[in-house]
Amino acid sequence: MLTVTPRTMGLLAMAGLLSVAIMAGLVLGAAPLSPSAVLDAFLDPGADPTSTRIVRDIRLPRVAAGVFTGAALALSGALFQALLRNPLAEPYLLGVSSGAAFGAVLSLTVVTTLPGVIAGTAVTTALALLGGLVAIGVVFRVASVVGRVDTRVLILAGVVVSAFFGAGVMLVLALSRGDAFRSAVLWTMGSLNRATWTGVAMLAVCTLAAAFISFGLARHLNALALGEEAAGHLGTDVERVKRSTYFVASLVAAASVSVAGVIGFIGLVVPHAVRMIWGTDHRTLIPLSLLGGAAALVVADAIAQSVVRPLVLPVGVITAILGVPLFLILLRRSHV
Amino acid sequence: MSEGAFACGGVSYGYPGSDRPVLQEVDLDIAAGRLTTLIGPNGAGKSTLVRLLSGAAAPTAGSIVFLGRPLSSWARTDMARRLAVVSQEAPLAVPQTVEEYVSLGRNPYVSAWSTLSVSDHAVVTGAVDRVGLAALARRRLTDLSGGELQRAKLARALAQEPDVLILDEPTAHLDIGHALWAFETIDELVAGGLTAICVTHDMNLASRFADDMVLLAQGRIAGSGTPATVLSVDRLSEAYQCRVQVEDHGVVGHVVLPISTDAALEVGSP
Repeated sequence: MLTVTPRTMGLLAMAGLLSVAIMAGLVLGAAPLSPSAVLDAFLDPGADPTSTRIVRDIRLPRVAAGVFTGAALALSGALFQALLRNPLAEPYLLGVSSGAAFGAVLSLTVVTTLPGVIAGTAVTTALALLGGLVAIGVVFRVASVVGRVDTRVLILAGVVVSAFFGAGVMLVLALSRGDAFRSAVLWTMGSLNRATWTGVAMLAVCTLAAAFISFGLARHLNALALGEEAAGHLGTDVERVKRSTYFVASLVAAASVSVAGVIGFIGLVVPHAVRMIWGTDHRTLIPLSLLGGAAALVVADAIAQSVVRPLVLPVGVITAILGVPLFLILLRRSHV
Repeated sequence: MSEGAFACGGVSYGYPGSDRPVLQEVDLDIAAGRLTTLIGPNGAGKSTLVRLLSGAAAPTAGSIVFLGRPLSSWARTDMARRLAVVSQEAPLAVPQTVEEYVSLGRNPYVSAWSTLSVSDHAVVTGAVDRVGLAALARRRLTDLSGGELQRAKLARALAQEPDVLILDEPTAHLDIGHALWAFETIDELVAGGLTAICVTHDMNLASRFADDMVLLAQGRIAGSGTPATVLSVDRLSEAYQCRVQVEDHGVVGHVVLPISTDAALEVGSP
């Protein structure tokens, strides 16, 4: 007899939710299309060329960016929550976002205005990634003492590095003017407007690789929830798992920020909600967070494009507006 | 003569930055297939000694041999298949169910990307049954009583199918019924071939069930041997800095009665 476990049910439910979210993302937008028009754009060579172009060249990369950004953020959040043994940890806690934002703002206000530099998304993405990597490296270096990562120092170092780069962002913004200022501010709000296939491909590779490594870490993360010493008694190489988790969670967050800017609450709320419904086992939590994060961000982006047409709101605003009440409800129910 | 589970030679330990050693030149052989209890006053170094034995910390001097090999030469996974630890810390970071928690005991047997096999699940179910928690297998640890939580911790350790089990104060916060259950269970496991090392403050239960007893005081071994040998009035009074009375109650072993923190006070004094 075939038995369906809660984990399988969860995976099916999340996969279904993600499918609906992707369809919603392709249907909704500045100019709504019917579901059949969207399907025709992929399947019918004789379909309306304008609709086909909108779906394939504009909405598909945007939805793909939403899928991988949401998945990356939720994965990163789940990993940070396991590493820090705190369900309220989130991807941006340890300074990745501030480092990336500093790189991006510097790019948009200074670097791309220099003679000989081609202004474009790739430069900003690269500098955002670099900024994130610098923050990751500094925080890790401070928290590592004699081959051991102290998670308490990790949090403190992360908060301080985050504040430092945050001040850097404000300084650069204070010194910038006009269009550069506006584009830099918009970047920090988080948006999928800048989605390109190159950025999506980079993020997809990072997210899938991170997901693969995370599945391998899942059993050890379950053990780590008991405490570092107890995890060691269960055969876990605690320091290796902590280092791997920190770098995977940070890098995937940096990759997502470099593509889509700072989008809050997905990384906090999605793993938390999954944990409340399906429990704390990371072998379930990680895949469901990936799917749930992807679905949540694609839906939020569809809403961001639909509520004040033709204006496209920053998707970070929608995730926060929807995420805060949801999180407060979860907080009340779970008493974390 | 039993084969040794542990052999400690000149083991010392001090915390980094501290001048005061917690353990000093401890020489100790722990026989396999027996229950050895570690007793001693607070701060005597009992928990530190079991941390060293479990590999959670390394001695600052001396050597520890585990099942015939230097402890430091054991791979983590191999070690976790032979040695399980029931520690004092409550596993409350996340609200796992009993079943999920006990399943962690199979971690040393399962590779990173694979799932638990049918036989792994059978071991987990067996361990949960063994401690009488079958009816609570789906309950969260946070919803268990102190006694039930202690059973769950023992089940997780048993799921590791260890040869040696270290228990750090397994009867702390337990009522006399649960404490008795804990020692009876350990006794049955030892009868089945397990080696158990148990840190405890309950000298009466230790006296009844232990094959060997080690008294630690001020980081040194103040006595070792059978419970009848170790539990002498003079030795305990000196180690605990208080007056005690020891009575032999036959089937339940030696009973230690604390009399007074005034070491000179005799029984019967007001």
